[in-house]
Amino acid sequence: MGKGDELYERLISPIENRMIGIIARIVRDPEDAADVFQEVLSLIWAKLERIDRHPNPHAYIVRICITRSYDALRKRARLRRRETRLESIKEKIWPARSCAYIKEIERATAIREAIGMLPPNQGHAVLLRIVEDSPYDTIANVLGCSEATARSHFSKGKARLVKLLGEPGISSYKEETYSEY
Amino acid sequence: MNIEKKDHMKNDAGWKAMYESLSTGVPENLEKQLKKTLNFFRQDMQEHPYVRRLERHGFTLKHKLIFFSRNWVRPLLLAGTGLAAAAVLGFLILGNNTPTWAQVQERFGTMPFIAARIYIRDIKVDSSPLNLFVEPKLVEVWAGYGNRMRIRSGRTVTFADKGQILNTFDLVTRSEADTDSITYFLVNKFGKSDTISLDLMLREENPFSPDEIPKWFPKGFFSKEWSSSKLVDTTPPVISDPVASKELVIFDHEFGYAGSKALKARVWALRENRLPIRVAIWIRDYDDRGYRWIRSPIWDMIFTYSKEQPKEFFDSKAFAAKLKDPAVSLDRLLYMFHQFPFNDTLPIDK
Repeated sequence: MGKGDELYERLISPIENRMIGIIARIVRDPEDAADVFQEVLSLIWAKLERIDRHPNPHAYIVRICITRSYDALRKRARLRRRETRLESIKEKIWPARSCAYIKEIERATAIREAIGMLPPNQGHAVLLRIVEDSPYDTIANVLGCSEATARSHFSKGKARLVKLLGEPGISSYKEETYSEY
Repeated sequence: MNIEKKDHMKNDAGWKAMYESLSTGVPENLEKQLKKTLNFFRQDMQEHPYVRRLERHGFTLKHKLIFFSRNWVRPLLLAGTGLAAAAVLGFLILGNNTPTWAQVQERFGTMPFIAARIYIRDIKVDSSPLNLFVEPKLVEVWAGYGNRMRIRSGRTVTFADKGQILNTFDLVTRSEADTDSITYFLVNKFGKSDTISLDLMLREENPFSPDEIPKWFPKGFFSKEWSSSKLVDTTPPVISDPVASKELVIFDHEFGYAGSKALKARVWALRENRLPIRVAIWIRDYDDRGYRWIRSPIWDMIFTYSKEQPKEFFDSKAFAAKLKDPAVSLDRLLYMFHQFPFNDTLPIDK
């Protein structure tokens, strides 16, 4: 086994599935997820020595995954805001497609859109808590802050999310979708 | 994952929905695609410059220093370095530094009990010819409990307290006797301060009051202290051997009357604990060939520092009581109340 394999086994192998899970669940769209994954690997490549020297390399890599996925969400949120102007036209053209499937897609998109509108640390904390079901100490480790700060980021992010999801225009998710549960 | 168990989602339909939306399984195709990408990445890692460097040189210096780059290590490392530097400085400043005469004197004054054996040779300078073969006279001095002294000079034992002679006893006649000049001199010199002072011993003071000195005498005769020069460290010129000079420090001093250097004194002290162990005094003679130093010291003092003796040892009344008892032999009287270091059990010749 060469040094490259040795390094890979030490740094990447133990968290391969975690990396894939984070990116795939947050980004959702397969093409976007593949792009984000490539970006993450490029960053790991560029920062390989620093990651290897880091006291907690796995937390460092998870942070890269979360940050890049979150950036993709924000990017999508920006695009969505531009697209909302077309929504009324779409409704007129495709009135018959407002079925449960479409609602489901819209709900997932709205959630991601809302998360993408959170401040970075709050967004990261919320994503780690929901996607990875991470305890606060893990979140603190990944964000590089104290456990109390991680807890604060999460609760603020959660409160803001609830507010965002309730706002008309961001999504009609609350009124339409909550009734299903 | 059982979402009902999540506290932050309980009774919160919004959170349940969010959780369901974000914790979906990874599509199989996407997973395969990403794993494939990872596989390529793994193969490419062999070509990474960092990996190549590792293969060429093992771990880089930076990597070797990873331990020191960690945040929690730095304060410890700094503290450790600081302590080491302080220890080195402490060793250089305190451990290896030559003590001053003041430090030696101060240390001497703090000792609870001091014993000195003084060998005095009465050479009688200015007489012709010099009695160079005169045998030295032994005077034993003990001091402790502030500045209480007991001096044994020949057949007499003298008790003194803070420079005042209390009693002098003749051991042979078992009665009070006159104090001899050497004992008087020692009590007067050693005992003038609250603690026993070696400094006073090596300082020549004007015995006359200014009224007693004729006005036409040189100015030096009017000063209280006749020899004002200090004891100076002369270790390097005296002991060239580095091993010996590591343990010993030597101070030299010249003193005399009104500026004329009539006596030389040398003090040997232990460098580390700063205690003097020997003091020698030489005298200068004058004859028709001029001034010259007499090689053999006229005073040679050897100091020992043992455990503190009982208070009775310095008690003249307790001694007088024993003196009156004819049952107490002379050899016991000589060192009465003195605790012998061998607990009175000397090896017996067979």
